[in-house]
Amino acid sequence: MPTTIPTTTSSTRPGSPSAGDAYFETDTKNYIIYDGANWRGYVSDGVAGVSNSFSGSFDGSNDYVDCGSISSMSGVSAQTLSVWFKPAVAGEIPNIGWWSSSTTSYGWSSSGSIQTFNAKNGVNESFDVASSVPNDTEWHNYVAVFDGGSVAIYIDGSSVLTGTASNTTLATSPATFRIGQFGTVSLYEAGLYDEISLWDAALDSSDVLALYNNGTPIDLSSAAGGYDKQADLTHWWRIGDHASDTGSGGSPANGDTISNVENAANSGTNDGTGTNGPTFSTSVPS
Amino acid sequence: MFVLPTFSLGVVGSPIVPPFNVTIRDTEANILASTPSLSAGEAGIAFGTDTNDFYVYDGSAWYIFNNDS
Repeated sequence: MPTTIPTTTSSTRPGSPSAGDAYFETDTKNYIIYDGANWRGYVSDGVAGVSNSFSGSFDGSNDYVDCGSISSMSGVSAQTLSVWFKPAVAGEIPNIGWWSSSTTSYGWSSSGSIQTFNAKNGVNESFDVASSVPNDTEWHNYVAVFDGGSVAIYIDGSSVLTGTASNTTLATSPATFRIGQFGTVSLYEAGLYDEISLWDAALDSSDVLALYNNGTPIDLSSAAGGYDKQADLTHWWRIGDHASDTGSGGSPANGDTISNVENAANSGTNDGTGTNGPTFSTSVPS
Repeated sequence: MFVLPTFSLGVVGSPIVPPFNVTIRDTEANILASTPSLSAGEAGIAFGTDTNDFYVYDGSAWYIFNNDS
């Protein structure tokens, strides 16, 4: 029999606790103890991360992984994109997504001081996050949620921007989706990219906080903590950690050129092909 | 009249309180692979013998509390 402790929630804590009473809060995942006057909280460091040995290193000049056109996001009203990114230059965001024209695109684009999320469908508008981008070269998790025209942007599990787009659906006929480059536009961003994922659903703040998991990526194919959108996961490029990912030396190895990175959520659909020499790296978010 | 228990040397004794014992003590890999059976309203706890971390299972996932000492 396991040793157990009682559970509660942050909104239903006992009204007349005794000093020393302890609970596990199922909503915050914190351990709390009453000291006789106040509840003291002990913050969980998260759940166990997914096995993760590799990321992709992109030079910011011409490297990219081409994943083809993603038909599952054509004309949809809900879509979420998550990417872990470690910039080579402090304060930069990833370049990733697809682009058809100045008014039709999807994804993150970084061009100098203009750092935006785009979900354009006929109107040239975007969501500028430059003021919220961490000014360092550490790993960060960027999540963009499009939900019927509402846009919510999260960095490291925290909401940094909400807005409303003119369009309530994404554009039809998406162009080729690229990692390391914003579609076919000449916008590249140097750094490490990992665990890129798409859902045909709008993740909520609980999902996003669970994705961040205090800096350690989780297994997106299973529910954990506040994350329960595993059934809506359509794409998950693990960049060296899926069984069939390959590099110039066969199985992925540090420094090898990326050949193929499969879509772990649906192998055979939108598998990615390394172009112009991105390499595997053993630096991963943790 | 209530008389406190004493030992032979005349020292006031403390009430004996059973220790709070964590019964699941195992490697992290084994802990994370396990799914304790729990009743409603309770969470299971465990101690990692290779990590010295503390683990709480809420019925769906293990939450890690890292050893900070």
